[in-house]
Amino acid sequence: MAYKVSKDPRTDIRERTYVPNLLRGLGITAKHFFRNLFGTRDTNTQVVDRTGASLMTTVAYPEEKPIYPEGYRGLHRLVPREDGKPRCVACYMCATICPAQCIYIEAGEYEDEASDSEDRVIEKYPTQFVIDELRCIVCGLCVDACPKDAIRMDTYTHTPPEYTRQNFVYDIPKLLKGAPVSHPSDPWNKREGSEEPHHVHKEAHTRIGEGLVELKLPHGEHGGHGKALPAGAHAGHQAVVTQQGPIQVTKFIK
Amino acid sequence: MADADLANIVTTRRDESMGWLQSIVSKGLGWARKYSLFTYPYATACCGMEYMSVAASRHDISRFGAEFPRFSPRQADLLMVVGTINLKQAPILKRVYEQMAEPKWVVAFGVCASSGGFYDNYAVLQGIDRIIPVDVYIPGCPPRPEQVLDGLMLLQDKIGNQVHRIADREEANPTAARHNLLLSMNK
Repeated sequence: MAYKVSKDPRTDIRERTYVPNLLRGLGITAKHFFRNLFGTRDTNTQVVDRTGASLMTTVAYPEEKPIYPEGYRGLHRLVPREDGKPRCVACYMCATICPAQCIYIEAGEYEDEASDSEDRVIEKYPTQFVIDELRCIVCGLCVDACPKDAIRMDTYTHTPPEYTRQNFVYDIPKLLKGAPVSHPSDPWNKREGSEEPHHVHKEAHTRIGEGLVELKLPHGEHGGHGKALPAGAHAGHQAVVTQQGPIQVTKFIK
Repeated sequence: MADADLANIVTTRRDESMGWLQSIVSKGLGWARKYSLFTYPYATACCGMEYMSVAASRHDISRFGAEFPRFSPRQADLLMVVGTINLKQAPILKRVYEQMAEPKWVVAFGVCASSGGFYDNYAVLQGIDRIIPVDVYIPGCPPRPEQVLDGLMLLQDKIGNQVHRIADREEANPTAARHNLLLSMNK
């Protein structure tokens, strides 16, 4: 039985040489090439939001710094109190939970005689607080474990690369930065006199951050711990120093 | 002893001892070498994904002249150790490093390669600088592409400031020399 003659349209000489389709493909490539070459390029650091004629998605990194997403766990910082000292009370919670064991703390104790009994509301402070950033696996467990909100990873900067391993050992002067933080549940806020707490808060430990008290800057009046702060005022936004300038940190655990 | 001080004195004397033509040649070679890094990605773990991200179009590593991964160490001059190196891998890594031709540089990519990270156990090498000299350490688990590009720019600065010769008759690699010095001081 003989085969029928094929009805394939490619029997046409035009189709069999592929020349028209070849040119069409080259045209598409050339269109993209010239569009990217001469089209205006949007430099929005959020690449998915770019609306330019050019379709290039490359971020020219050292010039255009992308904004890290909300909740990005960056370089650690030790959160200062209003008087500039770290909020850390050297409880070793972060050092205990750290899976990489990259936190080293040495605790010092406030002396009884140094301050009167009313001022002595916290007992310990870190004389050394060292994080080996080359061991840290940025899991954020130290932030979760801290009962005093004393360590955070909200700097929105990455740990910079270095030439030697010694440079990655971050101590208190390198870690202590950013905006000071105060909570109504802080003991130095709680104990004004002994009558009643001068703020209204419920479940302070579960609803931390609710009803934040007004912050004082460290260059002002140096109120040591034990000095009461006016309560009730809401310090909504706190600026954190980053590479790109201040970034508004709006959220904390609510 | 502060290593930085020692290194400064050495480089200063070397700079003084170089003639004008020699320093011009050195700077030219350094300029050429730092913008044409041929990487050998020694990817063993999850950081390899971030290496791909750096090499892809969003954070284009080819903007720094390091776009072409060579899959033979003999053709590469930048060894990127990407990921965890366990003790069974260590001799292989050492051999790969020794197969590379001078001049060569090493980048420890991520905390596992740099220090062992949180794998502080019997199986994992606690930092590749126990066996090979490392030029730049990039932290992060895994590092962001921006961190890698920062590290690459650090390495380019280092290469630009090194002394380069057309024919090397002595030990050419200052990082390896410093590494050997540190190893001998530990013994």
